[in-house]
Amino acid sequence: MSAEEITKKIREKAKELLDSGKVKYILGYGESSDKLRTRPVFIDDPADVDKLVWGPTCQSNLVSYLIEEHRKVKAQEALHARKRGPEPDKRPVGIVVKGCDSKAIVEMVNEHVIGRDEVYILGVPCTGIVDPMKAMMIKFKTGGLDLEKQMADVLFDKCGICECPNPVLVDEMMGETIAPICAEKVPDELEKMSLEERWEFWKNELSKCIRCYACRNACPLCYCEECVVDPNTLSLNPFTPAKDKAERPDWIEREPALSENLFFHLIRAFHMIGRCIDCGECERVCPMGIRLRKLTRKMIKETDERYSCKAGLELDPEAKPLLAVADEKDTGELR
Amino acid sequence: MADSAADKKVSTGDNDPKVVVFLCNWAYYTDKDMGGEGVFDLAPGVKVVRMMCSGQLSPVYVLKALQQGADAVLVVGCHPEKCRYKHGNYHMKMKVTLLRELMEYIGIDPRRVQTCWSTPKEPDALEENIKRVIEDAKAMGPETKLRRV
Repeated sequence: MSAEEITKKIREKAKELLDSGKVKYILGYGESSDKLRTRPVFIDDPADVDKLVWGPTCQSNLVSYLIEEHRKVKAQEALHARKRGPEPDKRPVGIVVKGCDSKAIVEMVNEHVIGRDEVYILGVPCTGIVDPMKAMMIKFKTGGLDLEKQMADVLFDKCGICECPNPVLVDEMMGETIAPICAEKVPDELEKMSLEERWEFWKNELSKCIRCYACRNACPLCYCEECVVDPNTLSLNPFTPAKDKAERPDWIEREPALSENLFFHLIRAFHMIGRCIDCGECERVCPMGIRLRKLTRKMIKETDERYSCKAGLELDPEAKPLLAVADEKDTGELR
Repeated sequence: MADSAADKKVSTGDNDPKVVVFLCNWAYYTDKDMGGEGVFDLAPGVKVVRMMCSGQLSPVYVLKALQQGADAVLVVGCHPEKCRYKHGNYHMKMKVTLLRELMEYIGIDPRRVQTCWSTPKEPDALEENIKRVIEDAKAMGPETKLRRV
């Protein structure tokens, strides 16, 4: 099915869901002022469904908004329980997801941070997404870009090795399922390097980091209200004593020095173990172009090889997360 | 004890590598029980941090130690099947294994973080392990990559 046909189907389905009142609103992609990008749109009026689009420029992972919605509803419920607010709207949110994004929903439901019944998934089959940076480089170097003909040159790296072009969890498909592209895996050049060569590479990469925390903010699975590696966030309520506020440990300084950046990225990669779905948002939003996916993909490879654990594929809220599982068969051979 | 504390010391030079030992509470006797001797006096650069269980270890502690001046870190837990809290030592092993992989990928020598099992009945084995870590730290040189300047 072409992108236009899928767009039409999404609009029809959105109108149907909004007219029947089955969903609170539809969260999808809409046109932006930039031809290479789309923006998230929240449609709650059936008259506005024509704002929804689908195409190869739908880069963002919209799943992060689901957590905000969940927390908002929980807060409203708490107020309502004390008779201080209206009953919250608990209808599901309709969301347009592609394959990689749907894995985030699976992980979130597995980690009990949203409920399966809070989301109505409209799945789309995806043939690849345009990387605006690559497209702009080609435009800059050659003077022009024909998106139709040069599509293969401007796709994200993650699209070239995509193994799930169809959403893994879906309520209704907006198009026919397609086969994976399954290109040959490009070996990681860092695996062949020596320890010092790797250090040189990462020293250069992570010195660029300005600690804007865009990677953490964009990640669908970084939802901690109090982040260990962010000296600025602290979970407060009106009754938090001043002593707690003063004594909160700061593991790293705010300064974007190499030592602090290393700490931040190592711990973030560690916290993603067994959870990262390689949606690539972290690398996409990094303003300095740091190759963050290398770190998380290394840990994905390790957990797959050592513990046969792949994130985001199986919906199983009863299963324990990887780091909570103690392998009793592990006889304790230490290096 | 027949050996005096001085015989057990590894070195007294200025270039002692600084080693932080994250010690499980149940894996070794405390300072008082040993009369002030033992791993706590093994070498001037060895600092011991006591945890209630090695499973309490977070990669944050290890990286913090290396950032703040340690040249190597040794994490000591109880033997498999002997953890007082059942599975804490397995959790520690999984976390440290994955942390070492990550550090090796970044370009930091994985020998900077080492683990061993111990019980209070084998203090000599623990001392051997600490000596091994000190030797490794000397061979690798001071830790400069993660160091906060």
